[in-house]
Amino acid sequence: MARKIATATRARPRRGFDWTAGLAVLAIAIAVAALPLFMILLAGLVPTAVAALIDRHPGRYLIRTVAPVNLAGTVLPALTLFETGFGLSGGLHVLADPRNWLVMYGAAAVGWGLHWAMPQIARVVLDVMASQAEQRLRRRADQLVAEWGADVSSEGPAQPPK
Amino acid sequence: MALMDAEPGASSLTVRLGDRYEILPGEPAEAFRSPTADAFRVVDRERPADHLFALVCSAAIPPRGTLLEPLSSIHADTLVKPVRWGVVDWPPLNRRVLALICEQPESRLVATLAEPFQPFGEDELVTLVLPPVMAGLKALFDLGLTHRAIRPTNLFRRAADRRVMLGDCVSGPPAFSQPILFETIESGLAMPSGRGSGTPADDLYALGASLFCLVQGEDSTRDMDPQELLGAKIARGSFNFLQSLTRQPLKMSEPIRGLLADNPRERWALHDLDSWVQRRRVTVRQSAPPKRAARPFEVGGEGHLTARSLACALVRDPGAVSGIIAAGDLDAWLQRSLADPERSAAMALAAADAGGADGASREARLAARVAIALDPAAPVRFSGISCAIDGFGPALAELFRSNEGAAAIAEAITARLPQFWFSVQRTFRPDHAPLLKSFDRMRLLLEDRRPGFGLARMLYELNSGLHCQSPAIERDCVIEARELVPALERAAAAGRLGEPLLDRHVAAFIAARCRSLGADWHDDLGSANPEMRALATLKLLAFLQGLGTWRKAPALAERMAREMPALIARYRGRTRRTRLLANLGRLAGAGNLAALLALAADPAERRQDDLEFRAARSEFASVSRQIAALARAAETRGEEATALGGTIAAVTAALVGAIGALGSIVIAG
Repeated sequence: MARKIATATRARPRRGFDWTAGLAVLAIAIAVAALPLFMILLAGLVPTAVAALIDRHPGRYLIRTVAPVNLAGTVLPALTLFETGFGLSGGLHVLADPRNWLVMYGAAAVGWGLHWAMPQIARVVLDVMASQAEQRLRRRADQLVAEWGADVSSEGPAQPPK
Repeated sequence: MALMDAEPGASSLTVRLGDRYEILPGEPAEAFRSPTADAFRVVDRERPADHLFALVCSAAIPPRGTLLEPLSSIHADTLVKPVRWGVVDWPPLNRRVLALICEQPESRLVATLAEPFQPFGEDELVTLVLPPVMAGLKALFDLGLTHRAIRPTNLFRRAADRRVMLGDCVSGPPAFSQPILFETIESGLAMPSGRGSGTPADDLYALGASLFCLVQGEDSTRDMDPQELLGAKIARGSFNFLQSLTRQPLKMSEPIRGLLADNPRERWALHDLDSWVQRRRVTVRQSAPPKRAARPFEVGGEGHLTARSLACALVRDPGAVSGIIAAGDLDAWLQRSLADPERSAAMALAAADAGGADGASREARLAARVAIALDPAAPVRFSGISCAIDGFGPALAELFRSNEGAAAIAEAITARLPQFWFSVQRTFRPDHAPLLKSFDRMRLLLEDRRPGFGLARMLYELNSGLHCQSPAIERDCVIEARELVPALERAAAAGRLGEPLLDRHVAAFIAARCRSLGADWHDDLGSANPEMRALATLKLLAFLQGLGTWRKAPALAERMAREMPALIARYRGRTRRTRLLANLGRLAGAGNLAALLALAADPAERRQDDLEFRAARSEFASVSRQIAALARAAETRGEEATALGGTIAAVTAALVGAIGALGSIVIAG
């Protein structure tokens, strides 16, 4: 019986899909199958990698914001690679074009920008809403005091009016 | 009930009592006036040929109000009895007075006792005087009533057959106007207003004395001082003394002797007199003389041989009583010289407990108890007052008006002198039981200090016919509670109402006349809280306005309206208060006191106010909690904004990314 309890105590919690391993496998597969594409992605997704490294928030908002737009930013250089024959020289040609860097890192910058700006905006919106709610409540409290007197704010059984 | 038809002073002035009778203040009926009421001619609008007169009672003396109803129900034509009565405006006195409408006899039998008159013969007395007087007395006695005003000047001849009828006995206290001659020794010892209703034996004594005067053709004692006359009656016995005044053999000596017996048990009753009238022969019981001592007991240098005489002397000198008691001389005199063990036992009882007072008050109490012990049949005599056991009420009323001696009556009752009087009586009559109970109750009423109690309450309890003596409405002669609001309305309109609006007299009057009100209002009316007092006042006034015919009272309502804001302030809701205050003026103008009360203290409105207040308080607590929650949320709003902003940013980025990827494909394709 005690062994059963110990086994249950030691039982490891069920884990979900391991994204790191998955991405590593995907990266290796792409590197083996399409090295030029892997080079472009490796160069273009550096901002996402940085975001993944520095994002310590439990909600992982930074990576969730930067990754989609950064990835979208690599679509155009990748398509350009296909047009140039999908060879290693084509890959280097794509990476040599600063416009592609601009697209990839510009998209990542948009992600970073969204991640920086949205909480600020949300804070402002939340503050305004809270302030309005408080003003409304205080107005109502004042109305109640004006109608029923200061006794309305007292606790305990209702006292007869003076 | 009464309406004035003309302006005061006009020659055609009439005062109407109901719709039927018109009293003519300009036409006095002097022949029928009584010492306690003026008489005036009356016109009966329904039967103008009837001869009537009105007795307009003096405001200073309480009438025998309890006698009015039973007297009017008597079907005997040998009594001058009121056929209708009520309070009327009386312009000559500029006040309201009680008026009694009576059938008018032909003339007074004897106009005055101050002068000799034509003596009456035995035949006339036996045929025209005694039978109708006896019939009138029998009718009264059958109802348990007494006349207490039998004297030659209060006997009248009837218009129809010249038979005699008994005059007014209602307009003043019992025996109030009786000369000492016509009163028994015991009644004579009492002050005029304190003689009490007495018993039929008192009326028969008065009839005997009246017969004596009528056969003599004069009042042989008219030049005597009343106290001297009383002393002579005590010393020699009533009949013996009166007989000694006659110069010739006394006619009708049998009935006069029988009726003037000083011992009530030996006095002729009505059937004895009737037997004598029928057969002219009734055995006259010889009166036993009062027990006399072998040697006199000296008080103040004067020797006394009878207990009654000694009691009178001790009452006159109460300071000497305690010394006499302490010396033990009195007890020795009672036992050895007077040989009256009953008086001796009563004396021991009297000396045993004179109450907890000290000084002069204790002396007076002791003297009163000793006097009662020595002379149990005499009135209660204390600190200058002297009241028969059933005469406290009218005596109190008179003393109250004259502002002297009323406190002595209160002290006599507080000292339980009436109870002591009952305890030493040889017999306890059935009519004594309610009296004894009443005195116990009066003592409790006197000890209560709340409004509606005290001396004023006792005044109205003991005088059911007395009008309210409150200075503001005294002139309105309010005898019934339903007349209070109209009287207070007149006083309010004239600016006579003082502070408080319901003074001790009005409160006591209400307490005595409105038993259905219960006793809860006394505390509220005496409360230190002015709002409670105002509310109690308004409740009483609304109750009183609902009695009888409803009449609006705008001046009174205006006066109450001045105190209403404080009452309305008891509501918690501002909106409700504003609405009620807005209605106040309109309701006050309508003179509806019940509506004002509903405005100030409607239970449903108050309940609703309370419910709404509780709901408001609950809402306030909820609002406070929400404000506090907002304040607490400010501390974590940064994290909340981060989470929210991060989520929005991620979603936006996903959308932008998808659109961007699609755009790239489109551009590249």
